[in-house]
Amino acid sequence: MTQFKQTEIAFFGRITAGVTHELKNVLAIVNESSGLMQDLMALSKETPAYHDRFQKALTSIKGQVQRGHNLIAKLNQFAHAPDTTVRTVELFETVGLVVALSQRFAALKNVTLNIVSPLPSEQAVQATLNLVQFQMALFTAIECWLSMAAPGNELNIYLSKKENTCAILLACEGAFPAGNDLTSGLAATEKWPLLQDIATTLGGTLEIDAQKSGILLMVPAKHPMNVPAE
Amino acid sequence: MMAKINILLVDDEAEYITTLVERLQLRNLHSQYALDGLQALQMVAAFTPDVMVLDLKMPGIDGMEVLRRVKKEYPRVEVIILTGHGAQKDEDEARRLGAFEYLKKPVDIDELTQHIQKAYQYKISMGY
Repeated sequence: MTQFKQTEIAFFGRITAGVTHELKNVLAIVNESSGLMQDLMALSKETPAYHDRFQKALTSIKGQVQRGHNLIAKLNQFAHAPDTTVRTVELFETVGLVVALSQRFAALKNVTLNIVSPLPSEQAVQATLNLVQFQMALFTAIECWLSMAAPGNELNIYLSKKENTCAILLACEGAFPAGNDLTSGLAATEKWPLLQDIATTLGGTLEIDAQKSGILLMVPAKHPMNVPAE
Repeated sequence: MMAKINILLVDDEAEYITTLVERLQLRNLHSQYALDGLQALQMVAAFTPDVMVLDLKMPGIDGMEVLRRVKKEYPRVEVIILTGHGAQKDEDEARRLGAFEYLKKPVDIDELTQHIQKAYQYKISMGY
């Protein structure tokens, strides 16, 4: 990634992170104001007209505020990705964030995304990599897979690490093209060439696992630039 | 009967903080508020609260600096951080500086009330 592109992405991230902070404050005010309304209703000696409807609406506001906070927290975390070019991250957490942010795209196709929870020892797998590129690779892989998915499909994402390589397998549950159909279908998707480019930039590889109807993305657990030359 | 706790709330979002004052009042906790770090430090100097509920991101003197100065000059004031910005490094730093608790917005009002009371009880138990 060129220095200018990196600067552009960092700029975008900083502005987004700033806005998420403001949005958190907005939600905090909505939360306290609706809470105050609930307090006052609880104190009222007489049952106000439309009490149940007010209560239902206030409960709904509270739920939506929490939903908003969760989304904003994820967006804020995402916006901080370009703060440093290469960094050490918890792989499970990073994949979880990308999957959470991709859920809406999957929902539009009536598809479910799941992370298959690795063993506790594997949940702590760390990788030192370009976080923006890695997130983009994973999201692009999900996009490629979604472009071939049918309503009702489930995409299971498996993580593992062997020696110095992190493997992320995106595998389908349910009826999905297999064998040559899968290979040619994925290769024909609009984003496949981009995914190949990012995988290469990450110093990794990209394979189609025809048996599991999936995409296998393998990246070095340490960014190639951080590995001392032999 | 609950002892009267002197509470200072500090947050630059006026609407947020005034609503919080009102909700705490409904729970028999009377508080004052400051809208920035400088005002907070002036108020601490004027009436030395028992418990301070402090936001981190504020214009001018930010919350972390307020915490640093308050714990240095008024160590008997117990400080609860209440912030929307939940970075782990901020929490670590706040605790290192002596924050009693680190809470993230949105916080349940009854939970906040309990933390304020716990902070006050701690202060009393330390003989302050």
